[in-house]
Amino acid sequence: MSITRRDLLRSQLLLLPAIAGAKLTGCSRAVLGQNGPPKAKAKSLVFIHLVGGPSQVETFDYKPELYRSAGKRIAGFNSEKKQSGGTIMSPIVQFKRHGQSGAWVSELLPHLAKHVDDLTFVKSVACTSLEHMQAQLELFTGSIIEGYPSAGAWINYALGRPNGPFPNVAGMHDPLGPPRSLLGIFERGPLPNTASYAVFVDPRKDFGDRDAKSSIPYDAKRAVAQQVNKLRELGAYRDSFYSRRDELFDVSIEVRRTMREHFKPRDYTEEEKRLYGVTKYFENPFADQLMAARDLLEKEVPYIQIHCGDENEPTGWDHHFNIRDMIPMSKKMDQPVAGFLTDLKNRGLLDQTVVFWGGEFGRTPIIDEVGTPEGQPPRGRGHNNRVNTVWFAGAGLKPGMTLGETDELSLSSVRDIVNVGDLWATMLHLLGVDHHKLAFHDKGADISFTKEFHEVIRDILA
Amino acid sequence: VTGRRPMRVEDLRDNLLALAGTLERQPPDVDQLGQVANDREARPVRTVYLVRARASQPFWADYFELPRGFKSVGQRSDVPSLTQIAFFLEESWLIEIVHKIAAAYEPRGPSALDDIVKENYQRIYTRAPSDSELASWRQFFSKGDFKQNLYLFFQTLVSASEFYYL
Repeated sequence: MSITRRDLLRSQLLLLPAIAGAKLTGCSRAVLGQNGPPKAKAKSLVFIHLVGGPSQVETFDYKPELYRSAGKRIAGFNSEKKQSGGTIMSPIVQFKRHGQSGAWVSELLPHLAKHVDDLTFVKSVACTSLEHMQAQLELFTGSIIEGYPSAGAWINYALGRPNGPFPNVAGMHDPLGPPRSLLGIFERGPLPNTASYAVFVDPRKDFGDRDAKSSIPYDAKRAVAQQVNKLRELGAYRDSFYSRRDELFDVSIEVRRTMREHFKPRDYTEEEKRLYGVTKYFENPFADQLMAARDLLEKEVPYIQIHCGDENEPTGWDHHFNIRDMIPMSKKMDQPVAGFLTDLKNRGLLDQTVVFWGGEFGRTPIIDEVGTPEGQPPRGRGHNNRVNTVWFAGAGLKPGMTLGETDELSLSSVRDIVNVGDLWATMLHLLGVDHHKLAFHDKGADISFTKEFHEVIRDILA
Repeated sequence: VTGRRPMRVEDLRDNLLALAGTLERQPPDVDQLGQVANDREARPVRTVYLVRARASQPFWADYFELPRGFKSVGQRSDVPSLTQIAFFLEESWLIEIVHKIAAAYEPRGPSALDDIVKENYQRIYTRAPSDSELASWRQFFSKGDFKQNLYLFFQTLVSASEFYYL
């Protein structure tokens, strides 16, 4: 006879957490086992995803050869449009060295340039797919096929501890729209429902009193949740898999109430305005989200996933048609992220947090000739899954260093190549999770977040 | 009970509209077919007659566990996110529907409670309530305002999984 979680609670089996945990979750292996789990260096992880894949040669991967070779044709490279070879395009901006580490940063990112000594760059990240949806799914779920649990769900499951009335994982996407992979990147998959994301666009907007009609009194929602639970216990379906859905009502109410109280619309302080480069609420939703992330970090929310930009070219990072669209997007992103890092540092939060910044893949040094609409001169860059520049900042990392290298045109990674799974192995390690042990038994097979060949990138760890 | 699956969002919508008595059962004319993609929630016309345009679904459809037919695979999650579940508790569209359903039963008053519960278990779940369920609702209605309790009664029935899964 199958038993429900409530049955377990009643029977006090939870006094034996190891046994009960295995029964509850179907976990075949201990995630944070007693056999020497890695020690957590960080309490929280903030994943800033630049939707669409920003150009590395216009941000951090300085390639002087591109300026010299601009206009030359090269052969032998296929982009996602099956464009064979193409014309090299010069970066639209100049680069300068910054900080003691002497890291190259483009003029597009003057604020982040002041933080290079806090950042740990990895310039040789490769992934499997050249297409956004699959690459985003791979980045967040480890699989190019939809339906597998996303990073936040895995982290929630791995940490396995409640966070009071706050969610364990929070996801925020651009108000203009989610990434192309939609809910696939907030997927819980077959993991237990307690691993669910709390997905919202902007906590102050989502949880504020913007719509009087939807401001249903707390007591009324509570009454509905209690009755749902009561009926579930009384009803004929209590042991079936979908009764798990009803268990979420309690959690949902409490999380939303807390978030709503916490994120009441307010005026920014002078310091917030200065750091994040905003003057009023909703002027730059991405900055609002970063401030919300900071507040969530103060509540020790372990994982926050923020998507900057949407899937469209001028309002995201997928610049096929005109790479100059990066200029307004960089303005939107640069100061808030730099301000976020400063803010965390000032509050002592950066010592216990890992911040990750990156897109799903990099871009080609050659012009995307196929993707440009007819009648317009081609001025953009295509997808490139052989290169991707990302950075980490915060706890447990070696600041001011760069791992990996691309060739002289930034066409392919040539040294210390890592896969997106290695990035996650490293981030999980910093959170104290052994990625090799992170698995879940589902329908007769173990599913895992990372693959067996993925490894922690030890070179970037402090 | 096995083999149940979440209803499609259009089915849920049609069921809710039907319960509220606002579903138009006549097939739409050509004009309506053309407009449906952008204006679906405002048009209480039975979805089975209409073109399904998932890429332009109404905002509230995001809160359901949709099969993602326009994507590479049709897989869906069997448990929604916390934000999705909150739809059933506080989204104005659903609340309006619940109020419409309740409005039809309110005049019958508290003395008809047993009949209201039995009738609506039949309408919404296609089964009679068990004795313990009926007792639970009697207890629920014993406190507070009848009208408010009636809203919550219907909101509970359409929020719970039994309504949501076929």
